[in-house]
Amino acid sequence: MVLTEGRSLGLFGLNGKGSDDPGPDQARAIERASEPRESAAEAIVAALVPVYAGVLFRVAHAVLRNRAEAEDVVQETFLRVLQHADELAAVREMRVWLIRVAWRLALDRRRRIRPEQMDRSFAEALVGRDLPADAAMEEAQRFRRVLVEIDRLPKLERQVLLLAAAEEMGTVEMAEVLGRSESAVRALLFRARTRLKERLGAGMGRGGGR
Amino acid sequence: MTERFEVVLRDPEEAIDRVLVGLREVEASPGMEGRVMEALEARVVAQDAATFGEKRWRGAVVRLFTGRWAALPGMGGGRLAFGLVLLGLLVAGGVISVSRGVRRGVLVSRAAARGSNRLRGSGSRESGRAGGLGEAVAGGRGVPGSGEAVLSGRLSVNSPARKGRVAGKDELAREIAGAAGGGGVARGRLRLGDERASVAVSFPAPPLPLTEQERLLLRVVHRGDTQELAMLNPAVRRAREAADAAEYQEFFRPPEPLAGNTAPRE
Repeated sequence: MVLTEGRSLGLFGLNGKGSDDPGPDQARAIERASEPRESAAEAIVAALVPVYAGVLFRVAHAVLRNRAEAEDVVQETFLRVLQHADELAAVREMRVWLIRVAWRLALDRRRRIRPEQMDRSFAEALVGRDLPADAAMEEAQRFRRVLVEIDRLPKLERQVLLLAAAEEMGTVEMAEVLGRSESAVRALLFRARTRLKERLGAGMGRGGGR
Repeated sequence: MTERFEVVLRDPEEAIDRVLVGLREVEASPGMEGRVMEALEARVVAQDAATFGEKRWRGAVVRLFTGRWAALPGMGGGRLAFGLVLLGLLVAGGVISVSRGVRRGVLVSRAAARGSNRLRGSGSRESGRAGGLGEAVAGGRGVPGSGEAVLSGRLSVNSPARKGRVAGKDELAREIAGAAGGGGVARGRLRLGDERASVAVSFPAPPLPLTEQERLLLRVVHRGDTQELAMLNPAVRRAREAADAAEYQEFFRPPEPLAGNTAPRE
C-alpha cells in the first residue's frame, strides 16, 4: 500500500533517474507488477512515476505554462492509472497512453485557469543571460508575443504545435494522442507554423512586439 | 537597440523555434517525483480510510449470514454464543412482526363484519320509515357528516332498502380498507389507535337525528288517519254527509201502520 520510490526501485530494479526510454527493465517491471495481488496497481504506479513524470510534466506545461498546475496534472495522471489499473493490460503503448491522459487533463484544466495565471516568467527564462537588461526585456517581450500568437491559433493547430513542441513525437504518436490521422496531423502542424510566422511577421513588421 | 529589434522582427521563425525549444526543454522542479508519490500515497490512504468502514461492515454482514462466525471480528471460536444470541434476536423480531401482522388482519376482518351487520340492521329498520315519507323527501337530501349509504338507506324513497344496504357495505369496505392501509398515505399513517377506532361501538357513526323539516313533514303526514285524509276530498265528504243525513232522518221517521188493523180500537 505504501508508494515509496525506494520500494518500487528495489522491487523492480529501475534506475530511478527518470529516463524517458522505458527499456526492457521497465517492461519487465510492469509485467511483474501486473501480477494479481493486492498492491499491484500501486507497484505499477511506483514503477511508472520515475520513468514518465518528466515527459508528462513537459506536456502539461506546454498547455498550461504553469509549473504548479503542470505538476498537479502529473499527479492526476498517475491517479488515473491507479483507478484504471485493471485496464493496463490492454494498453499497447504506455507512453502514448500516459501522454494522452495528461494531455486531456491539461486541456481540461486550461479551461479553468485564467491567462494571467500562466507563468509570465517563462518568456524571460528563454532570454539569454549574457544580454543587457534592456535587450533582455525586449527579447522577453518578443517571446511573449510569440506565446500570445500561439494562443491565438485555431485550436487544433495550436494543440498540434504544442504537442510537437513539448515532446518530440512522431506523427504516428501524435495522431494517436490527438485522435487524428497522420496526414491531418502533418497538415495541421504545417498550417500552424505558417500561420504563426505570417502573423508574427505582420505584427512585428508594424513595429510591434507589443 | 532599434537595429537589433528590427533584425529580430525580420526573422520570426527563429523566435518561434526558440519558444518551442524552450517548451521542450523545460524541467520540472527538483523532487517532483517524490512529491507526486507522496501525494498519491496520501490519496490512496484517504480512499482506503473512507472505504475501510464500509468494507468491514459489509464483510461482517456477509460472514454473519454465510455462517463464517469465526471470521467475524472478535468472534474467535469461543464467542459463538454471541452469534447465536444475535440470530435468536433476529428470529424473535421476525416472529413478533408476523404476529402483529396477523392480529392486524383479524382486527380488520372483525371490523368489517361488525360494520356490515350494523349497517344491515339499520337499513332494514329505517326502510319502513323511509317508505312513508312521501315524495317531498324523495332522492335523499345530503346530510352533512353522514355517509351516502346511510342517507340512501334511511331517506331515499326511489331506492329500495336493499340498495342502501349494498351501498352501505361498499362504503364501509372502502373506509375499512383506507384505515387498514389500502391507500398509499393512509398505509403509512396507520396506528394502533386507528385500528381500535375502527372496531369501536361508535363505528360506523349512528344515523343522525331528523332535522326540523323532516319532523314537520312526519307530523303532517301522520296526524290523521285515512278517514280524515279522505274527508279532504269534497265529493267523498258530500257523499259521507248525505249518508249521515239520511241515517239521521231514518231515525226520526214514524213507523208504518200494521197491515189489517186500520180502525182504531175504542
